[in-house]
Amino acid sequence: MKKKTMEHTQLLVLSLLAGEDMYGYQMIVELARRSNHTFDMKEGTLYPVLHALEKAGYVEAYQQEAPTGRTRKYYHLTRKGGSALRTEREEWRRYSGAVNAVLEASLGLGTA
Amino acid sequence: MDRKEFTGQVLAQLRRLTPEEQDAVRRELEDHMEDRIEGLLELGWSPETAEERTLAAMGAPEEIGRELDKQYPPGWLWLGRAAFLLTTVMCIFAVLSLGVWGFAIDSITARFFPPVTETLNKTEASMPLNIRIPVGNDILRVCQISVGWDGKRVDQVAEVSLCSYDRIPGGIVASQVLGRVLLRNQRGETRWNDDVRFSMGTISGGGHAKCQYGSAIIPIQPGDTYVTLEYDYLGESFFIELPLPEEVAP
Repeated sequence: MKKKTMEHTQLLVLSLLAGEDMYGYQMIVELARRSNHTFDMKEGTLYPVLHALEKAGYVEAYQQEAPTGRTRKYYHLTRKGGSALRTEREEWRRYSGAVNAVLEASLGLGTA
Repeated sequence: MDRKEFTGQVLAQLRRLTPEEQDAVRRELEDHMEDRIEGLLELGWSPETAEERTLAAMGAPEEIGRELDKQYPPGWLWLGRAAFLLTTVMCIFAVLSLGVWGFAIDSITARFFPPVTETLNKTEASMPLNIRIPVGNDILRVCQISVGWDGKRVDQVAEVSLCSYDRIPGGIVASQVLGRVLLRNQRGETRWNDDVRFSMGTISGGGHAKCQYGSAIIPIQPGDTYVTLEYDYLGESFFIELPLPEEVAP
């Protein structure tokens, strides 16, 4: 198994941004909603992740007025980010598939 | 801890970020907390509890700050500062190389603390002088007269130390002022050029004729009491008797 090159949070953030441009708080809300509150991360730790993705060129930021009427810093998935997302998603599927396969096998052994 | 303290603690960790980047981080975090508190208030929480819950949800400010700081390359800020410093130094050098400050410093030195040019091997007596003679736009200053031996002649010699500078501080002095000065002894003997040693202003700056220092030498004989300093060029002329240092006058 190859070493995973991307943090889970980065992958999740990229997937969120694949749908639409979002600002930080919106991502937290959306992540909680989509994961049914499974990903209960400390909200402040989202920003180091976002800034890392920005430095890597996977996302870019711009200021825009949010539906609340306030100006927020929106993040947009770049072409480079999109291709990184596809690679990482594939990688994640293989990884989780492998983990599942092992788990299923051990489950089979345990019940045998 | 309130929101301000929280962002303050985050920002305290951001050593690699420029002030603008720090400001952007502050705004982003404050916006986030503002949105969250608003959401909690809509759910009917009290403002105090809403803020408390929001801060708890944010996480540890130091850790967030440290992680944020890591995302920025360490070099940029220092590179920026180094570039600024280098630019400043280069500007200072550029100004100095224009000679403006060099001129001014030399002019002030020549006016108030003229370095005395003396080339005698053995000085028997010397007397500081402060005679300023206007020559055109320049000033010729007689700084000192000495008596002694210059190591070339058997005869005793008199050496007059001179300095010339522009009337206006920082101005350029005409090189012919020192070059045309003539020293004559009591027998009317003069030496010109070969015994008049000049040095261009080499005290500071350099490359421009802002102040000139030099000395003129003439052989004297026992019984001499003075030498004369003469100048006659382009319509300007003067003639001054300079007494030899008395106590040792031969």
